[in-house]
Amino acid sequence: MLKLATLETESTDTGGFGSEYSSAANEQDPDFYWPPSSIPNAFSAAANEQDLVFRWSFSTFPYFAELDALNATPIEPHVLTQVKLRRALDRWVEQTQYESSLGVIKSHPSYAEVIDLGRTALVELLERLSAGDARVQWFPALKALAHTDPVPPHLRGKIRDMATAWVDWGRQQGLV
Amino acid sequence: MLFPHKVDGLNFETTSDATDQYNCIAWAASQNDLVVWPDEDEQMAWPPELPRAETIEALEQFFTLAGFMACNDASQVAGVEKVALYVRDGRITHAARQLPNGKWTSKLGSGVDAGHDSPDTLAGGAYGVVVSYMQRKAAGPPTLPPLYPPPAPPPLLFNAAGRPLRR
Repeated sequence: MLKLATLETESTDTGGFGSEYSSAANEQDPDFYWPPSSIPNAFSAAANEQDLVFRWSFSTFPYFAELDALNATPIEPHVLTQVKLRRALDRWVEQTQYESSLGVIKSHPSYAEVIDLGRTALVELLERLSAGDARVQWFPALKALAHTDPVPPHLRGKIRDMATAWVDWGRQQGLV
Repeated sequence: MLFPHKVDGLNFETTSDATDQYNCIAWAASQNDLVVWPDEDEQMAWPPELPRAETIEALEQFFTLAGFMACNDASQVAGVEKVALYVRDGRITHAARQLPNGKWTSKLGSGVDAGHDSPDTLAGGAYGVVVSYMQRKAAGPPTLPPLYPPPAPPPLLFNAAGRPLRR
């Protein structure tokens, strides 16, 4: 333990800031030493398992160097875009799952986020369709991203068939 | 809150898994293989002669083509099936169908099918309020209005002179 204000003596105490640590009476104060007795010392005996975990968390928490190194690791822009896109798609589906109105679905903020990501979003949606993840939300976004609609009129509303038409179009364009 | 009047197990129960293959309007018209909606992007099925607008007038016209006519309330009438049409902020949001036992059934967006005691169970939240009830005779197979595109014409069986073609 570190004894605070050890250099202070009664003769040099001027009553200013920190002067309270200079008196011998304050040595009885539990906060006189650091760490104070209210925080368990890792070297003292643990009372129980919870106490042990509590001390372990104190002893391992300040890995700031590692955290700084992690934060300083450069992340490729396309990886960030992918993360942003997938979060937007997941949020969009989750928050519009009870909506039938395509107007409401398209007015969700995630729709604009997805459209902003352009070709990356187009490829991701086509890959999801190719993997069997066909959702109502995807189709207006695909039409806006691709500036075309490969779904023949007689298949409108038939989600599986629409997915197949889009995947075929994506293969023809070399996107999937 | 999405559905403030819904209480699971009391006035509401889930009756299917979630699926994107059909939606509430199709389910109200007893179809479970089609998404029917008047979207402006023309992605979903909708009769070609009706306007593609998310208005109650367009939805009422759709159910009129499917054999429904306006009625006053959600009361149970023997031999009659009813639908309730929901609107929020001037935009259609949902349609529910009455079952022969007087209860109601809904497809919740791209989520699950659900049974509920009355149309009001799903009102007051995301779906807004019921603004219209319609009914048709329950007898017979369910019918949908013709959806775009019209079916291909049958092959010609007669020649220009009106005589049967030989095979």
